[in-house]
Amino acid sequence: MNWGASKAVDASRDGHMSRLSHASMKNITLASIVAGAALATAFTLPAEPVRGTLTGSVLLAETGKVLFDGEKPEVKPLAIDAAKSEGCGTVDTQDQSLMIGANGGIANVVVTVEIAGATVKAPEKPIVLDQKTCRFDPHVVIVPVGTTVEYKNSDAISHNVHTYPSKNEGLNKMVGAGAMEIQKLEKEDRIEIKCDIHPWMNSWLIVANTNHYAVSGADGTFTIEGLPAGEHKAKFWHEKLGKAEATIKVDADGKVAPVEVKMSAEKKGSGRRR
Amino acid sequence: MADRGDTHYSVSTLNKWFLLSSVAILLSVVWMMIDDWERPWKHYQRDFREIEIAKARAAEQELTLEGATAREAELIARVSEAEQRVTANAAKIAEVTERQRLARGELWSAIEAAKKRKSAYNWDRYLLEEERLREGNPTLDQVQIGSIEREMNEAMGIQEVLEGKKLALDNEISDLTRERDNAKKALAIGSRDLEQVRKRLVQLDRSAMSAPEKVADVVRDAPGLDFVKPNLKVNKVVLDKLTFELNFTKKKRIDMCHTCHLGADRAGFEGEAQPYASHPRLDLYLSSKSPHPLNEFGCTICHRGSGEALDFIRSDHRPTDMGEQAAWAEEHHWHKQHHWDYPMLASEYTEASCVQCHKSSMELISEDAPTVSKGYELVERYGCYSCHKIDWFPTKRRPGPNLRNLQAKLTPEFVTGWITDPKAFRPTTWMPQFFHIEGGNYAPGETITNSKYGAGRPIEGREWDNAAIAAITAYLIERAPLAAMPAVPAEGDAHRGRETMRLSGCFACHNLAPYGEEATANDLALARTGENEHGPNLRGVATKVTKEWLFQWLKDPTKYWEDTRMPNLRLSDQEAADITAYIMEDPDGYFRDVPEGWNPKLVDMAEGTLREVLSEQARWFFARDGRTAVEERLERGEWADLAKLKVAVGEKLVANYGCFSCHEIEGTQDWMPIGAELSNWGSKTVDKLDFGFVKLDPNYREGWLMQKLHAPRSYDQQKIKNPSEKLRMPYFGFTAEQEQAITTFIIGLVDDEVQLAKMVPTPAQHSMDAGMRAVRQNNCAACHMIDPGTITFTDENGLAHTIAAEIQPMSEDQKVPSAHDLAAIKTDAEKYEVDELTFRVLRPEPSVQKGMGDKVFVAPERLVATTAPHGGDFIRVVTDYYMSGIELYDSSKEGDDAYSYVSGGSGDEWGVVDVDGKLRDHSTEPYDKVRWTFAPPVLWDEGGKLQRGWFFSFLRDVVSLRPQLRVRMPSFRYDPGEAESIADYFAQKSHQEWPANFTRAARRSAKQDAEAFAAAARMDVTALREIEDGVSMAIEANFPKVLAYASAAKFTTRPAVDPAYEASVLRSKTHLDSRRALLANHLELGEAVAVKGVNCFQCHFRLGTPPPADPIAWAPDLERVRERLREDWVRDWLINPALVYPGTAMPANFEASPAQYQDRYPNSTNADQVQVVLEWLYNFDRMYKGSPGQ
Repeated sequence: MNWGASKAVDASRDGHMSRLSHASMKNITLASIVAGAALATAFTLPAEPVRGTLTGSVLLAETGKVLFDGEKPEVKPLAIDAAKSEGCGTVDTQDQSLMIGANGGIANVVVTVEIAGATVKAPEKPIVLDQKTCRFDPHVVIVPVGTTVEYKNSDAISHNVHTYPSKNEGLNKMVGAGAMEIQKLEKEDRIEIKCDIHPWMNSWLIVANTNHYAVSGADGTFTIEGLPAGEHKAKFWHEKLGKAEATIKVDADGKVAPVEVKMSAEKKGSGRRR
Repeated sequence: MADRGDTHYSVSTLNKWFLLSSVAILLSVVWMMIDDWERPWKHYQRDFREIEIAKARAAEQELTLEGATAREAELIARVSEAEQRVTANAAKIAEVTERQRLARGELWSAIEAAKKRKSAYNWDRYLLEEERLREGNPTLDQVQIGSIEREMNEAMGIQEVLEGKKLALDNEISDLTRERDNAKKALAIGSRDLEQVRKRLVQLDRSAMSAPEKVADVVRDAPGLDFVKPNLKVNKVVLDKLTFELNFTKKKRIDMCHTCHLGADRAGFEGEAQPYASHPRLDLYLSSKSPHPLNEFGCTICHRGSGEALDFIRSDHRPTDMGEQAAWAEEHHWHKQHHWDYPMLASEYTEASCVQCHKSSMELISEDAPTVSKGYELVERYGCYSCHKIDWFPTKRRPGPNLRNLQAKLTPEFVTGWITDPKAFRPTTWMPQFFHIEGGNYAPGETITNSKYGAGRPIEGREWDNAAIAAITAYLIERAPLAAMPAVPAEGDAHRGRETMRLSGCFACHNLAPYGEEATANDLALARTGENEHGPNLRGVATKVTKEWLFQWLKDPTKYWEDTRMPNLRLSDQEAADITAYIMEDPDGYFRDVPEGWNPKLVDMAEGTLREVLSEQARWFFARDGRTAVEERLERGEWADLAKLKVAVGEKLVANYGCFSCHEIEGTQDWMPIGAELSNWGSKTVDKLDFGFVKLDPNYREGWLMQKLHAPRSYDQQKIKNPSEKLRMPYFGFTAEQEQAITTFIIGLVDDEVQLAKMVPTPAQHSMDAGMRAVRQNNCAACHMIDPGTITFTDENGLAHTIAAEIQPMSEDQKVPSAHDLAAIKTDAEKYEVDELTFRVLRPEPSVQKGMGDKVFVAPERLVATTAPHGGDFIRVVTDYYMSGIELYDSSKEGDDAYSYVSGGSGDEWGVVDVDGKLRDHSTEPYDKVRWTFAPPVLWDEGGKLQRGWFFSFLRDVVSLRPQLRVRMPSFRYDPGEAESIADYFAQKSHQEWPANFTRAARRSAKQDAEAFAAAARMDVTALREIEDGVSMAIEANFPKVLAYASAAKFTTRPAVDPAYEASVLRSKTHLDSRRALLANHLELGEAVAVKGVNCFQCHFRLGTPPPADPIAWAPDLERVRERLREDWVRDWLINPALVYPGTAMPANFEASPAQYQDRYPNSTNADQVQVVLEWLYNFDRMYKGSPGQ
């Protein structure tokens, strides 16, 4: 079914473009023939997944949860001066660095599963990181290596996109109202992105060496699809709570037990700094 | 002949004797000739020849290796191919050659015809003018002369046409033969090296010579014939400008050392045994391209010894140690040349000879002559020059603090303890020890005097010294009437003071290093980095000074001591009170921590004993007044009062020991220094030195000097001396390296009249030297990174690269990157378990294809070496504090519990108090943000950034440039000319470094490797590398080629800093007028783009008004740009700040594609926008007053 649908979309795109070119009649005819053929194949071919290369596994989803361990800390809203947020509109003052849901679920935890030997595919279209009402949107985003990221500014005032990568090349540019910047990210990295003009604005851009990743939602749940059979290690990272790990097992018929991970707040200033 | 019988003697006997004696004389003549001919240096020359032959054979082997011969064969093949083609075209070539020949002939005729016409014209013209004059008719025969002129022009025209024709034919021929000519040239070049080697072999190796050549080679060196063209000959260099000073005359120096030291000035003999080895650093010494070529300098001016002796022993060669001396004595019957007054220097002291010529450029040679420079700096630091005169020494200030108001600072107990043994309180102090010295003038129980007149009792050394200390203390206090310090005006807060002290910059020059190996916190203020040893270690200082004094000192150090190197930090009363409270209350336990055993008390002597000893001292030191007068004063006069006796004796002791040379003391201004003059110590012959009973090699001065520095009074041991004769130099406690460095410097202080020593520095050199000295003496490098460090690593192919780069934080657990030091980086790499280190490149590095700000990744095992950045340690102290606070260690607790952390917040709050008074936690910010915002700025290429006049006035009158900084630039007190020299130094430095930077940037932009770039620029690849490394001789010779090639490739960077003062372009009337003609409202457009488009004032201050942002986002006031920054620099900065200061918070505003801000400035490119913003920045003071550009 997927096949047919996508082809139809392509066909309609061809049709749209042909309005600009000369031989419109010819192209419409061509398009409809292709569409017809596609529809035909959709009903004849079995719904097989694109990657049939992994031996003998039927693929299934893995569901998990990240919970907060211990007493929920008080997270104050950000103190944003009116003078400093001039032109932003109504700024969302929620402190996105630690968001814990009613059931203790932690939002914005990055979950990655690295499969040995798998090739990482970068998406064709760039991933968009937007700036709206003086906040970055989304607060945490994860992309595979080789992705092109688009930094957009949907506000009416200028923002500056200043990235602080460890392995990739940095970027520090003014992005005007409605404008955008593009950058290709080649190396595995964890990049913090800030706006120097509005210091409360920050975002985390994770470049992962895998296509199996997810960011936990407001209730701490996440879903990762397409895991092959075997034992894998899932890595968890949160900007305030640090790291955690869990081992997951995918059986031959694709069943995975949902995993629940607990993270707790680290004490400030304890232990040796260096 | 038969005996006639009438001769007096028997003729046959006579004949026998005659025969015998003739043979004997003949043999002795032959022996004489052989002895005269067979000289020791000829052996060395023969050996050297063998070495050269071996080398040439090896080179030949290498060049005729498989690959090389194949290459040669290939080139020969190409030549023959080309030849064949030429032969194939022979007919055509012949035809064209014939045509060319005919054309040549035609051309020649045409030239002659034209010449004839021209001379005809000239002659006719002359005649005509004569006639006109005579007739008085200026227009006579106008037409006629005109036609003659026309003919001449025609003829010349024909000539030119034929020239062109011939040229075309020439080109045709060369087109046909070019390939062959090029192939031949390539062959010649390719086999040039081999040809050279073969030629050399034929010259040297007899087995490669033909028979007659062999014979000639032998005969050449035969006795009697070896004046024509010998192989074995004396090599000498006659140096008119380097003379020996003899009584009433000067003698030319003639050096013949390279008769035996044949490989010295040539590369390629580095591994050979002496005397054949190449001299090290041929780029600096001996080679013709170096600044010290052999034929201008010779050898003995640096190494001393006897240059005219052609003998191993008589040259006064110097063994490195006693072992070698014994070996030489046995093997070569070596003995020192006692009558040669200029003994050869041991190799570790050779740098001493730099001093005689480089007195006015000691700073400039510090990199190439590190030992003697270190000695020079130690002499300056420890103040040797203040007791021992060195006539040209540039520093003249007293090195120790002013003692005029001693009582306001110290107690008499402290003074006593300090004079007794300064290191007992502060082990790193520069003040030496005068009394109770182990191994000094006397042993502890030994009698120092048996009483001068026999009336008193013997005085032991210990009593003598104790009484002396009491007397000096009393004298100093009497000479320092108390000028009481006012009370501290504000209530200080120790907690606030802790942060203020950490951030004001105190720990850039001062440190808090612990005394022993005890465990401490991981705090950079506790480390000794060299830069933070400019001022004293502050441990224990709260037990030394009073609160009031400390407050006044912090507010204005020069009030207490005018010549102090401590600058004025412009602290407010509250800030100074806070720091004073932090030090005096000492919550962290640093400032009351004194070394074990330190317990200062007044001298503990019974009054009677004290009087006895002081009286004896008075007898000795007032001996000139006469015994009667002295006894009178002691019994009945003013010295009957013990206090007055102490002061009187103290005065004499201060005069004796020379305290007044280092410290200003009331009443001692005119006293002369007590030490021997060192201005020409290096010319002293060893027989003038008193070795006493110390076991040293009596032939050499270096040992004597090392011993003097090590134990100055040891030469008194076992000697019988009265107290006023004893040696007085105090004990400094130098390490062996320090002693060697100082010795090297002192040995270099000669007064030989050498003309080259009168080296007058060029103005550029002078400003560089004075500037470097000022920067060093004011310790600018403590806070500011003046030059980045480098790293050397190997890549996958094993090739080593050295690039300017800085280490980045290794893992998210490391908040502040490691120190730029190989050991520290490797330790941290292990600790954080990283397998790849990240470095940020800090200048264009074409050899690794990286530009400014790019990242380079190196596995820890591939990191080979690092060189430290010049300055900037304090950047890590500041960023460390902002990111992690201060770590404290409590030795009473165990394990990790012993460590605790403090910050500017109190209780549970964590953070740093920003300049607006608010506490903010910056510990989660990225490192770059904290480093570029809150730490002291770097001074990379500062001369290219600042306008020189502004720089000078800033140094004299410091203003706050970066308002968010709590760290502050102090106000220094400059000697006359110092501030100018600092500004000049940076400008000169930028000017000198520009060719190297330009070349690197050009090669990076062209993305070529060194060989390709050098070939394209038509220069040698070694010359290119030398230019990139900044070798000035290479730059002088070859940089124009780089410039020409880069310009042809349309590559530009901002131009070099002009060493003279520069004029503004963007403010000049001509520029503004011409711009207005093209774009009338260019300044308004600049304002629109900057203020409404980009809105610079979101972060930048505007005429003193802060922007609507937190201090972490604050940027300097744009009002200052037009006076402070150079226009080229600001242009580069606006275009891409990350290429100037990688990691800075300033974004690139004009890089979008397509260009933004079209609504403010329609149809503009990024470059247009940069231009108008620049013009706005440099002119906006004029915009609001009247018409722009007035």
